Amino acid sequence: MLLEYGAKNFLSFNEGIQVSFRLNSNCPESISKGKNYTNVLCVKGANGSGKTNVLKILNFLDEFCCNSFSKKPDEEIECKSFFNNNEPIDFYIEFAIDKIEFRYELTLTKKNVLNETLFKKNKRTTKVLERKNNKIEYNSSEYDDVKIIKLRSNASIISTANQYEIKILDPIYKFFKSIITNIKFNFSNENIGNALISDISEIYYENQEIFNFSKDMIYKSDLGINNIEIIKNEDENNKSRYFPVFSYSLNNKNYFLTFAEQSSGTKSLFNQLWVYKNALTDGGILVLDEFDINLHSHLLPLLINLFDNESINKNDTQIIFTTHNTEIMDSLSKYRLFLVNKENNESFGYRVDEISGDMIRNERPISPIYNEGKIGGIPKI
Amino acid sequence: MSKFKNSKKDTFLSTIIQESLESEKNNLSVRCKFNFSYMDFSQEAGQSFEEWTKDELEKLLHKLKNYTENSLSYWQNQRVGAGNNTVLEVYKSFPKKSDFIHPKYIPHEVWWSRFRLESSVRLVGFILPSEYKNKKHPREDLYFDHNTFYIVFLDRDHRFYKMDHK
Repeated sequence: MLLEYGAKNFLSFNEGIQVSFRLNSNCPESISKGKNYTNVLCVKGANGSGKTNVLKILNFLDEFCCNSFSKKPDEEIECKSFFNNNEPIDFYIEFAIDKIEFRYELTLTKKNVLNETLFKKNKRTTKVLERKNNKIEYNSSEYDDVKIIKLRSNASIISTANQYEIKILDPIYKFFKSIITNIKFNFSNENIGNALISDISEIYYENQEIFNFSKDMIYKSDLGINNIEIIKNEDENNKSRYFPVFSYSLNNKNYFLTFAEQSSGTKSLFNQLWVYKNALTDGGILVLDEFDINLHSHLLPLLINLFDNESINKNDTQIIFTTHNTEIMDSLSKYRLFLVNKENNESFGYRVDEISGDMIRNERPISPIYNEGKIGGIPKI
Repeated sequence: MSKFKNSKKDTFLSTIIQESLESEKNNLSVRCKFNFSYMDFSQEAGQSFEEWTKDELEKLLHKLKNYTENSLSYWQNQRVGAGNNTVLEVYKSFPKKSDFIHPKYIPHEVWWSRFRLESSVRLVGFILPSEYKNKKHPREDLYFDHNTFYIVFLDRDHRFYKMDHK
Protein backbone atom coordinates (compact mmCIF):
# COMPACT_ATOMS: atom_id res chain seq x y z
CA MET A 1 0.00 0.00 0.00
CA LEU A 2 1.52 3.27 -1.15
CA LEU A 3 1.13 5.97 1.51
CA GLU A 4 3.25 8.87 0.24
CA TYR A 5 6.30 9.70 -1.81
CA GLY A 6 8.38 12.63 -2.95
CA ALA A 7 11.50 13.92 -4.61
CA LYS A 8 13.81 16.91 -4.70
CA ASN A 9 15.98 18.22 -7.52
CA PHE A 10 14.26 15.81 -9.90
CA LEU A 11 13.21 16.86 -13.43
CA SER A 12 11.15 20.09 -13.12
CA PHE A 13 11.16 19.98 -9.31
CA ASN A 14 14.01 22.08 -7.95
CA GLU A 15 12.70 22.10 -4.40
CA GLY A 16 10.71 19.27 -2.89
CA ILE A 17 7.52 17.62 -4.03
CA GLN A 18 5.46 15.45 -1.67
CA VAL A 19 2.51 13.37 -2.80
CA SER A 20 0.33 11.79 -0.16
CA PHE A 21 -2.29 9.06 -0.33
CA ARG A 22 -2.93 9.40 3.40
CA LEU A 23 -6.36 10.55 4.57
CA ASN A 24 -6.99 12.15 7.93
CA SER A 25 -10.10 12.24 10.07
CA ASN A 26 -11.38 15.39 8.29
CA CYS A 27 -12.02 13.33 5.18
CA PRO A 28 -15.68 12.29 4.99
CA GLU A 29 -16.51 8.60 5.32
CA SER A 30 -18.06 8.61 1.83
CA ILE A 31 -14.56 9.27 0.42
CA SER A 32 -12.33 7.43 2.89
CA LYS A 33 -14.62 4.40 3.39
CA GLY A 34 -13.15 4.22 6.85
CA LYS A 35 -9.54 3.87 5.61
CA ASN A 36 -6.64 6.20 6.35
CA TYR A 37 -5.41 6.12 2.75
CA THR A 38 -6.97 6.55 -0.65
CA ASN A 39 -6.97 4.11 -3.55
CA VAL A 40 -7.39 6.89 -6.10
CA LEU A 41 -5.35 10.04 -6.65
CA CYS A 42 -5.78 12.37 -9.62
CA VAL A 43 -2.98 14.72 -10.71
CA LYS A 44 -3.97 17.81 -12.66
CA GLY A 45 -2.05 20.72 -14.04
CA ALA A 46 -1.53 22.83 -17.14
CA ASN A 47 0.44 21.45 -20.08
CA GLY A 48 4.12 21.62 -19.18
CA SER A 49 3.42 22.17 -15.48
CA GLY A 50 5.24 18.98 -14.56
CA LYS A 51 2.29 16.73 -13.71
CA THR A 52 3.74 13.77 -15.62
CA ASN A 53 6.94 14.29 -13.63
CA VAL A 54 4.93 13.61 -10.48
CA LEU A 55 4.29 10.13 -11.90
CA LYS A 56 7.85 9.76 -13.19
CA ILE A 57 9.09 9.69 -9.59
CA LEU A 58 7.25 6.39 -9.10
CA ASN A 59 8.33 5.19 -12.51
CA PHE A 60 11.96 5.85 -11.61
CA LEU A 61 11.75 4.26 -8.16
CA ASP A 62 10.12 1.17 -9.69
CA GLU A 63 12.82 0.89 -12.36
CA PHE A 64 15.69 1.62 -10.01
CA CYS A 65 14.66 -0.63 -7.14
CA CYS A 66 13.70 -3.55 -9.41
CA ASN A 67 15.97 -3.43 -12.44
CA SER A 68 19.09 -1.37 -11.74
CA PHE A 69 21.20 -4.46 -11.03
CA SER A 70 20.69 -5.64 -14.60
CA LYS A 71 22.43 -2.50 -15.94
CA LYS A 72 26.08 -2.63 -16.93
CA PRO A 73 28.33 -1.67 -13.96
CA ASP A 74 29.60 1.48 -15.68
CA GLU A 75 26.22 2.58 -17.05
CA GLU A 76 24.84 5.93 -15.93
CA ILE A 77 21.71 5.98 -13.79
CA GLU A 78 18.78 7.19 -15.89
CA CYS A 79 17.75 10.01 -13.63
CA LYS A 80 17.64 13.70 -14.51
CA SER A 81 18.18 16.48 -12.01
CA PHE A 82 16.58 19.93 -12.28
CA PHE A 83 18.00 21.34 -15.53
CA ASN A 84 20.80 18.76 -15.34
CA ASN A 85 22.58 20.37 -12.39
CA ASN A 86 25.26 18.37 -10.58
CA GLU A 87 23.64 18.33 -7.14
CA PRO A 88 22.32 15.02 -5.77
CA ILE A 89 18.71 14.01 -6.34
CA ASP A 90 16.61 12.91 -3.35
CA PHE A 91 13.64 10.56 -3.19
CA TYR A 92 11.50 9.10 -0.46
CA ILE A 93 8.59 6.72 -0.43
CA GLU A 94 6.43 5.42 2.41
CA PHE A 95 4.36 2.28 2.07
CA ALA A 96 2.75 -0.44 4.12
CA ILE A 97 3.22 -4.18 3.72
CA ASP A 98 0.90 -6.33 5.84
CA LYS A 99 0.09 -3.26 7.92
CA ILE A 100 3.75 -2.56 8.72
CA GLU A 101 4.91 0.82 7.45
CA PHE A 102 8.24 1.30 5.71
CA ARG A 103 10.07 4.37 4.55
CA TYR A 104 12.73 4.16 1.86
CA GLU A 105 15.05 7.11 1.17
CA LEU A 106 17.40 7.43 -1.77
CA THR A 107 20.01 10.02 -2.70
CA LEU A 108 21.97 9.70 -5.91
CA THR A 109 23.60 11.41 -8.84
CA LYS A 110 23.72 10.14 -12.42
CA LYS A 111 27.04 8.50 -11.58
CA ASN A 112 26.39 6.81 -8.27
CA VAL A 113 24.15 6.08 -5.33
CA LEU A 114 25.11 8.18 -2.33
CA ASN A 115 22.61 6.87 0.16
CA GLU A 116 19.84 4.32 0.53
CA THR A 117 18.05 3.98 3.84
CA LEU A 118 15.18 1.80 4.92
CA PHE A 119 13.08 2.56 7.99
CA LYS A 120 10.48 0.31 9.56
CA LYS A 121 7.63 1.46 11.78
CA ASN A 122 6.92 -0.86 14.67
CA LYS A 123 5.19 1.44 17.13
CA ARG A 124 8.01 3.88 16.41
CA THR A 125 10.03 4.40 13.26
CA THR A 126 13.52 2.92 13.34
CA LYS A 127 16.28 2.65 10.78
CA VAL A 128 16.81 -0.97 9.74
CA LEU A 129 19.22 -0.61 6.83
CA GLU A 130 21.54 2.08 5.56
CA ARG A 131 23.87 2.12 2.61
CA LYS A 132 26.38 4.94 2.05
CA ASN A 133 28.11 4.94 -1.30
CA ASN A 134 29.01 1.28 -1.85
CA LYS A 135 29.13 0.31 1.79
CA ILE A 136 26.45 -0.97 4.13
CA GLU A 137 26.76 1.50 6.96
CA TYR A 138 24.14 0.00 9.23
CA ASN A 139 21.74 -2.89 9.40
CA SER A 140 19.55 -4.18 12.17
CA SER A 141 20.06 -7.83 13.09
CA GLU A 142 16.95 -8.73 11.10
CA TYR A 143 18.75 -7.57 7.97
CA ASP A 144 22.09 -9.33 8.63
CA ASP A 145 21.81 -11.30 5.38
CA VAL A 146 22.43 -8.18 3.30
CA LYS A 147 26.03 -8.06 4.53
CA ILE A 148 27.10 -10.52 1.84
CA ILE A 149 26.02 -8.17 -0.93
CA LYS A 150 28.68 -6.50 -3.02
CA LEU A 151 27.17 -3.15 -3.84
CA ARG A 152 27.53 -1.42 -7.18
CA SER A 153 27.51 2.34 -7.53
CA ASN A 154 24.67 2.39 -10.10
CA ALA A 155 22.44 -0.28 -8.55
CA SER A 156 19.91 -0.27 -5.75
CA ILE A 157 20.46 -2.49 -2.75
CA ILE A 158 16.90 -3.75 -3.28
CA SER A 159 17.48 -4.79 -6.87
CA THR A 160 20.85 -6.27 -5.90
CA ALA A 161 19.40 -8.22 -2.95
CA ASN A 162 16.82 -9.68 -5.30
CA GLN A 163 19.60 -11.02 -7.52
CA TYR A 164 21.31 -12.46 -4.43
CA GLU A 165 17.96 -14.05 -3.49
CA ILE A 166 18.03 -12.43 -0.06
CA LYS A 167 14.60 -13.04 1.39
CA ILE A 168 14.43 -10.22 3.94
CA LEU A 169 14.19 -7.56 1.19
CA ASP A 170 11.78 -9.61 -0.91
CA PRO A 171 8.60 -7.86 0.31
CA ILE A 172 10.20 -4.46 -0.41
CA TYR A 173 11.22 -5.61 -3.90
CA LYS A 174 7.72 -6.95 -4.52
CA PHE A 175 6.21 -3.64 -3.44
CA PHE A 176 8.25 -1.76 -6.07
CA LYS A 177 7.53 -4.50 -8.60
CA SER A 178 3.80 -3.92 -8.08
CA ILE A 179 4.10 -0.39 -9.53
CA ILE A 180 2.79 -0.51 -13.11
CA THR A 181 3.12 2.55 -15.32
CA ASN A 182 2.25 3.62 -18.85
CA ILE A 183 4.84 6.40 -18.86
CA LYS A 184 6.89 4.71 -21.57
CA PHE A 185 4.03 3.10 -23.41
CA ASN A 186 0.94 5.18 -24.01
CA PHE A 187 -2.18 3.03 -24.37
CA SER A 188 -3.72 5.57 -26.68
CA ASN A 189 -0.98 5.56 -29.25
CA GLU A 190 -2.75 5.46 -32.60
CA ASN A 191 0.33 3.97 -34.24
CA ILE A 192 0.46 0.99 -31.95
CA GLY A 193 2.10 -1.79 -33.95
CA ASN A 194 0.47 -5.02 -35.09
CA ALA A 195 2.95 -6.99 -33.03
CA LEU A 196 1.71 -5.30 -29.88
CA ILE A 197 -1.93 -5.85 -30.86
CA SER A 198 -1.07 -9.51 -31.27
CA ASP A 199 0.58 -9.60 -27.83
CA ILE A 200 -2.41 -7.96 -26.16
CA SER A 201 -4.82 -10.22 -28.08
CA GLU A 202 -2.85 -13.24 -26.92
CA ILE A 203 -3.35 -12.16 -23.30
CA TYR A 204 -7.10 -12.02 -23.94
CA TYR A 205 -7.00 -15.35 -25.83
CA GLU A 206 -5.17 -17.12 -23.04
CA ASN A 207 -7.08 -15.63 -20.12
CA GLN A 208 -10.85 -15.74 -20.33
CA GLU A 209 -11.37 -13.85 -17.08
CA ILE A 210 -9.34 -10.88 -18.27
CA PHE A 211 -11.07 -11.05 -21.66
CA ASN A 212 -14.57 -11.14 -20.16
CA PHE A 213 -13.77 -8.20 -17.91
CA SER A 214 -12.46 -6.15 -20.85
CA LYS A 215 -15.31 -7.13 -23.17
CA ASP A 216 -17.84 -6.13 -20.55
CA MET A 217 -16.25 -2.68 -20.18
CA ILE A 218 -16.05 -2.19 -23.96
CA TYR A 219 -19.71 -3.19 -24.41
CA LYS A 220 -20.67 -0.67 -21.72
CA SER A 221 -18.84 2.10 -23.53
CA ASP A 222 -19.62 1.27 -27.18
CA LEU A 223 -23.32 0.79 -27.82
CA GLY A 224 -22.74 -0.94 -31.15
CA ILE A 225 -20.40 -3.82 -30.37
CA ASN A 226 -22.16 -7.06 -29.44
CA ASN A 227 -19.19 -9.44 -29.45
CA ILE A 228 -15.41 -9.53 -29.67
CA GLU A 229 -13.51 -12.63 -30.70
CA ILE A 230 -9.80 -13.25 -30.66
CA ILE A 231 -8.63 -15.18 -33.74
CA LYS A 232 -5.43 -17.19 -33.63
CA ASN A 233 -3.53 -18.08 -36.80
CA GLU A 234 0.05 -18.60 -37.90
CA ASP A 235 2.29 -16.35 -39.98
CA GLU A 236 4.66 -17.53 -42.72
CA ASN A 237 7.27 -18.48 -40.08
CA ASN A 238 4.75 -20.69 -38.26
CA LYS A 239 4.64 -18.19 -35.44
CA SER A 240 1.30 -17.73 -33.70
CA ARG A 241 -0.49 -14.45 -34.39
CA TYR A 242 -3.56 -13.17 -32.58
CA PHE A 243 -6.01 -10.44 -33.59
CA PRO A 244 -9.43 -9.28 -32.47
CA VAL A 245 -12.61 -9.19 -34.56
CA PHE A 246 -15.41 -6.89 -33.47
CA SER A 247 -18.98 -7.91 -34.19
CA TYR A 248 -21.85 -5.44 -34.78
CA SER A 249 -25.50 -6.27 -35.23
CA LEU A 250 -27.53 -4.52 -37.93
CA ASN A 251 -31.06 -5.58 -38.90
CA ASN A 252 -30.60 -8.94 -37.18
CA LYS A 253 -27.43 -9.63 -39.13
CA ASN A 254 -23.91 -9.60 -37.71
CA TYR A 255 -21.15 -7.58 -39.36
CA PHE A 256 -17.48 -7.88 -38.51
CA LEU A 257 -14.87 -5.13 -38.29
CA THR A 258 -11.13 -5.20 -37.64
CA PHE A 259 -9.15 -3.46 -34.91
CA ALA A 260 -8.04 -0.76 -37.35
CA GLU A 261 -11.68 0.07 -38.07
CA GLN A 262 -12.51 0.71 -34.40
CA SER A 263 -12.90 4.14 -32.82
CA SER A 264 -9.91 5.60 -30.95
CA GLY A 265 -11.80 5.04 -27.70
CA THR A 266 -12.45 1.35 -28.35
CA LYS A 267 -8.83 0.83 -29.40
CA SER A 268 -7.63 2.58 -26.27
CA LEU A 269 -9.86 0.47 -24.02
CA PHE A 270 -8.82 -2.75 -25.76
CA ASN A 271 -5.16 -1.81 -25.24
CA GLN A 272 -5.40 -0.96 -21.56
CA LEU A 273 -8.22 -2.88 -19.90
CA TRP A 274 -6.16 -6.04 -19.44
CA VAL A 275 -3.69 -3.98 -17.38
CA TYR A 276 -6.50 -2.90 -15.06
CA LYS A 277 -7.78 -6.42 -14.61
CA ASN A 278 -4.28 -7.68 -13.85
CA ALA A 279 -3.75 -4.90 -11.34
CA LEU A 280 -7.13 -5.53 -9.72
CA THR A 281 -6.28 -9.22 -9.43
CA ASP A 282 -2.73 -8.82 -8.16
CA GLY A 283 -3.04 -5.61 -6.12
CA GLY A 284 -0.42 -2.92 -6.58
CA ILE A 285 -0.22 0.59 -7.91
CA LEU A 286 -1.26 1.72 -11.37
CA VAL A 287 0.50 4.88 -12.51
CA LEU A 288 -1.25 6.17 -15.60
CA ASP A 289 -0.42 9.28 -17.61
CA GLU A 290 -3.37 10.68 -19.59
CA PHE A 291 -4.84 7.21 -20.05
CA ASP A 292 -8.23 8.73 -20.93
CA ILE A 293 -6.94 10.81 -23.81
CA ASN A 294 -9.20 9.13 -26.40
CA LEU A 295 -12.04 8.30 -24.09
CA HIS A 296 -15.30 10.15 -23.60
CA SER A 297 -15.33 12.10 -20.35
CA HIS A 298 -18.22 9.99 -19.08
CA LEU A 299 -16.07 6.85 -19.27
CA LEU A 300 -13.53 8.14 -16.78
CA PRO A 301 -15.82 7.73 -13.72
CA LEU A 302 -16.53 4.16 -14.89
CA LEU A 303 -12.80 3.38 -14.90
CA ILE A 304 -12.15 5.18 -11.60
CA ASN A 305 -14.99 3.23 -10.04
CA LEU A 306 -13.04 0.01 -10.64
CA PHE A 307 -10.60 1.19 -7.98
CA ASP A 308 -12.96 3.17 -5.78
CA ASN A 309 -15.58 0.45 -5.45
CA GLU A 310 -14.52 -1.97 -2.72
CA SER A 311 -16.66 -4.79 -4.10
CA ILE A 312 -14.67 -4.64 -7.38
CA ASN A 313 -11.29 -3.62 -5.98
CA LYS A 314 -10.94 -6.47 -3.51
CA ASN A 315 -7.13 -6.41 -3.44
CA ASP A 316 -6.75 -2.74 -2.51
CA THR A 317 -5.17 -1.75 -5.82
CA GLN A 318 -4.29 1.94 -6.05
CA ILE A 319 -4.33 4.23 -9.04
CA ILE A 320 -2.61 7.58 -9.55
CA PHE A 321 -3.30 9.25 -12.88
CA THR A 322 -3.08 12.50 -14.79
CA THR A 323 -6.01 13.76 -16.82
CA HIS A 324 -7.30 16.91 -18.47
CA ASN A 325 -10.83 15.90 -17.56
CA THR A 326 -12.17 18.49 -15.11
CA GLU A 327 -15.60 17.03 -14.30
CA ILE A 328 -13.95 14.18 -12.43
CA MET A 329 -12.68 16.63 -9.79
CA ASP A 330 -16.11 17.00 -8.23
CA SER A 331 -16.61 13.31 -7.54
CA LEU A 332 -13.02 12.83 -6.37
CA SER A 333 -13.17 15.69 -3.83
CA LYS A 334 -10.27 17.76 -2.52
CA TYR A 335 -8.68 14.80 -0.72
CA ARG A 336 -7.96 12.91 -3.94
CA LEU A 337 -6.83 15.77 -6.15
CA PHE A 338 -3.25 16.88 -6.58
CA LEU A 339 -2.50 20.05 -8.52
CA VAL A 340 0.79 20.95 -10.15
CA ASN A 341 1.88 24.52 -10.91
CA LYS A 342 4.98 25.97 -12.47
CA GLU A 343 6.66 29.27 -11.61
CA ASN A 344 9.93 30.43 -13.19
CA ASN A 345 10.27 26.96 -14.72
CA GLU A 346 10.09 25.29 -11.31
CA SER A 347 7.21 22.93 -10.60
CA PHE A 348 5.49 22.61 -7.27
CA GLY A 349 2.49 20.56 -6.24
CA TYR A 350 -0.10 20.32 -3.49
CA ARG A 351 -3.12 18.25 -2.65
CA VAL A 352 -6.26 20.38 -2.77
CA ASP A 353 -7.11 19.72 0.89
CA GLU A 354 -3.83 21.47 1.77
CA ILE A 355 -5.52 24.73 0.77
CA SER A 356 -6.58 26.29 4.04
CA GLY A 357 -9.57 28.53 4.48
CA ASP A 358 -13.07 28.08 3.30
CA MET A 359 -12.91 28.22 -0.49
CA ILE A 360 -13.15 24.44 -0.90
CA ARG A 361 -16.02 23.00 1.05
CA ASN A 362 -16.72 19.28 1.37
CA GLU A 363 -20.21 19.47 -0.05
CA ARG A 364 -19.51 21.87 -2.94
CA PRO A 365 -18.10 21.16 -6.43
CA ILE A 366 -14.44 22.06 -6.99
CA SER A 367 -14.47 22.36 -10.78
CA PRO A 368 -16.05 25.87 -10.98
CA ILE A 369 -13.44 27.26 -8.56
CA TYR A 370 -10.67 25.40 -10.39
CA ASN A 371 -11.85 26.63 -13.81
CA GLU A 372 -11.78 30.22 -12.57
CA GLY A 373 -8.11 29.77 -11.68
CA LYS A 374 -8.63 30.40 -7.97
CA ILE A 375 -6.71 27.34 -6.75
CA GLY A 376 -4.02 27.05 -9.45
CA GLY A 377 -3.28 24.14 -11.75
CA ILE A 378 -4.65 25.72 -14.94
CA PRO A 379 -2.91 27.32 -17.91
CA LYS A 380 -2.40 31.10 -17.76
CA ILE A 381 -3.96 32.09 -21.06
CA MET B 1 10.11 15.91 6.06
CA SER B 2 11.72 19.32 5.79
CA LYS B 3 14.07 18.26 2.98
CA PHE B 4 11.12 17.88 0.66
CA LYS B 5 9.42 21.17 1.53
CA ASN B 6 8.82 23.66 -1.25
CA SER B 7 8.90 27.41 -0.64
CA LYS B 8 7.09 28.16 -3.91
CA LYS B 9 4.26 25.87 -2.87
CA ASP B 10 4.05 27.48 0.59
CA THR B 11 4.03 30.98 -0.92
CA PHE B 12 1.38 30.03 -3.47
CA LEU B 13 -0.87 28.37 -0.88
CA SER B 14 -0.56 31.39 1.41
CA THR B 15 -1.95 33.65 -1.34
CA ILE B 16 -5.14 31.61 -1.85
CA ILE B 17 -8.17 33.47 -0.53
CA GLN B 18 -9.40 32.01 2.75
CA GLU B 19 -12.89 33.48 3.01
CA SER B 20 -16.05 32.54 1.22
CA LEU B 21 -19.56 33.93 1.53
CA GLU B 22 -20.77 30.92 3.45
CA SER B 23 -17.77 30.60 5.76
CA GLU B 24 -18.62 29.99 9.38
CA LYS B 25 -17.04 33.28 10.40
CA ASN B 26 -18.15 35.33 7.41
CA ASN B 27 -20.56 38.08 8.50
CA LEU B 28 -21.09 39.87 5.20
CA SER B 29 -24.86 39.45 5.42
CA VAL B 30 -24.82 40.95 8.91
CA ARG B 31 -23.01 44.15 7.93
CA CYS B 32 -25.44 47.06 7.56
CA LYS B 33 -25.65 49.37 4.57
CA PHE B 34 -26.34 53.07 4.11
CA ASN B 35 -28.48 54.39 1.29
CA PHE B 36 -28.13 58.04 0.25
CA SER B 37 -30.81 58.27 -2.45
CA TYR B 38 -33.57 59.62 -0.16
CA MET B 39 -31.55 62.58 1.12
CA ASP B 40 -33.37 65.90 1.42
CA PHE B 41 -31.13 68.96 1.32
CA SER B 42 -33.99 71.41 0.92
CA GLN B 43 -35.02 71.92 4.53
CA GLU B 44 -33.71 74.83 6.57
CA ALA B 45 -33.06 72.71 9.69
CA GLY B 46 -30.67 70.40 7.88
CA GLN B 47 -27.56 70.83 5.79
CA SER B 48 -26.20 69.72 2.43
CA PHE B 49 -22.78 68.07 2.00
CA GLU B 50 -21.44 71.40 0.82
CA GLU B 51 -22.36 72.99 4.13
CA TRP B 52 -20.30 70.53 6.12
CA THR B 53 -16.59 71.13 6.47
CA LYS B 54 -14.04 68.71 5.04
CA ASP B 55 -13.27 67.68 8.60
CA GLU B 56 -16.95 66.97 9.35
CA LEU B 57 -17.34 64.98 6.13
CA GLU B 58 -14.23 62.93 6.84
CA LYS B 59 -15.53 62.14 10.31
CA LEU B 60 -18.86 61.14 8.79
CA LEU B 61 -17.20 58.72 6.36
CA HIS B 62 -15.08 57.16 9.08
CA LYS B 63 -18.18 56.74 11.25
CA LEU B 64 -20.11 55.18 8.36
CA LYS B 65 -17.27 52.77 7.71
CA ASN B 66 -17.25 51.81 11.36
CA TYR B 67 -21.05 51.38 11.52
CA THR B 68 -21.09 49.11 8.45
CA GLU B 69 -19.00 46.53 10.33
CA ASN B 70 -22.10 45.48 12.26
CA SER B 71 -25.82 45.10 11.82
CA LEU B 72 -28.41 47.78 12.46
CA SER B 73 -29.81 45.75 15.35
CA TYR B 74 -26.33 45.66 16.89
CA TRP B 75 -26.16 49.48 16.85
CA GLN B 76 -29.67 49.67 18.31
CA ASN B 77 -28.26 47.98 21.39
CA GLN B 78 -25.00 49.91 21.70
CA ARG B 79 -25.22 52.53 24.40
CA VAL B 80 -23.58 55.90 23.89
CA GLY B 81 -23.32 59.21 25.77
CA ALA B 82 -25.33 59.97 28.90
CA GLY B 83 -28.62 58.36 29.85
CA ASN B 84 -30.15 55.53 27.88
CA ASN B 85 -29.15 56.76 24.44
CA THR B 86 -28.06 54.23 21.84
CA VAL B 87 -25.98 54.69 18.71
CA LEU B 88 -29.04 53.95 16.58
CA GLU B 89 -32.34 55.11 17.93
CA VAL B 90 -35.53 53.94 16.18
CA TYR B 91 -38.46 56.30 16.80
CA LYS B 92 -40.75 54.62 14.27
CA SER B 93 -43.13 57.54 13.70
CA PHE B 94 -42.00 60.97 12.60
CA PRO B 95 -41.46 63.08 15.76
CA LYS B 96 -44.23 65.45 16.65
CA LYS B 97 -41.79 68.08 17.81
CA SER B 98 -39.27 68.57 15.04
CA ASP B 99 -37.84 71.38 12.92
CA PHE B 100 -38.02 69.02 9.95
CA ILE B 101 -41.06 67.89 8.01
CA HIS B 102 -41.73 64.44 6.50
CA PRO B 103 -40.66 64.66 2.83
CA LYS B 104 -43.54 63.64 0.58
CA TYR B 105 -41.49 61.14 -1.46
CA ILE B 106 -40.67 58.99 1.55
CA PRO B 107 -43.13 56.10 2.08
CA HIS B 108 -45.47 56.65 5.01
CA GLU B 109 -44.80 53.24 6.63
CA VAL B 110 -41.06 53.71 7.30
CA TRP B 111 -39.61 53.75 10.79
CA TRP B 112 -37.85 57.06 11.43
CA SER B 113 -34.52 56.66 13.13
CA ARG B 114 -31.25 58.40 13.74
CA PHE B 115 -27.56 57.53 14.10
CA ARG B 116 -25.63 59.55 16.64
CA LEU B 117 -22.41 60.88 15.08
CA GLU B 118 -21.09 63.04 17.94
CA SER B 119 -22.39 65.39 20.68
CA SER B 120 -25.27 67.12 18.90
CA VAL B 121 -24.62 65.82 15.39
CA ARG B 122 -27.16 63.29 14.07
CA LEU B 123 -27.69 61.36 10.86
CA VAL B 124 -31.44 61.16 10.40
CA GLY B 125 -33.22 58.66 8.23
CA PHE B 126 -35.34 55.57 8.34
CA ILE B 127 -35.33 51.81 8.35
CA LEU B 128 -38.03 49.42 7.14
CA PRO B 129 -40.74 48.19 9.50
CA SER B 130 -40.30 44.64 10.80
CA GLU B 131 -43.41 43.33 9.01
CA TYR B 132 -41.60 43.80 5.68
CA LYS B 133 -38.96 41.26 6.66
CA ASN B 134 -38.58 38.49 4.03
CA LYS B 135 -41.08 40.25 1.77
CA LYS B 136 -40.62 41.16 -1.86
CA HIS B 137 -41.96 44.25 -3.57
CA PRO B 138 -44.99 43.09 -5.60
CA ARG B 139 -43.41 44.21 -8.89
CA GLU B 140 -39.69 43.67 -8.29
CA ASP B 141 -38.00 40.34 -7.66
CA LEU B 142 -36.01 41.78 -4.78
CA TYR B 143 -36.44 41.61 -1.05
CA PHE B 144 -37.00 44.66 1.15
CA ASP B 145 -33.74 45.22 2.96
CA HIS B 146 -33.85 45.23 6.74
CA ASN B 147 -30.22 45.95 7.27
CA THR B 148 -30.09 49.26 5.40
CA PHE B 149 -30.30 52.69 6.94
CA TYR B 150 -31.80 55.18 4.46
CA ILE B 151 -30.27 58.61 5.18
CA VAL B 152 -32.60 61.61 4.79
CA PHE B 153 -31.15 64.55 6.76
CA LEU B 154 -27.75 65.75 7.92
CA ASP B 155 -28.70 67.16 11.34
CA ARG B 156 -25.71 69.01 12.75
CA ASP B 157 -27.69 70.76 15.50
CA HIS B 158 -29.92 68.03 16.75
CA ARG B 159 -33.15 69.57 15.43
CA PHE B 160 -34.90 66.39 14.30
CA TYR B 161 -36.11 64.95 17.59
CA LYS B 162 -36.27 67.98 19.81
CA MET B 163 -37.37 66.16 22.95
CA ASP B 164 -34.20 64.07 22.90
CA HIS B 165 -32.35 66.09 25.51
CA LYS B 166 -35.20 67.67 27.30
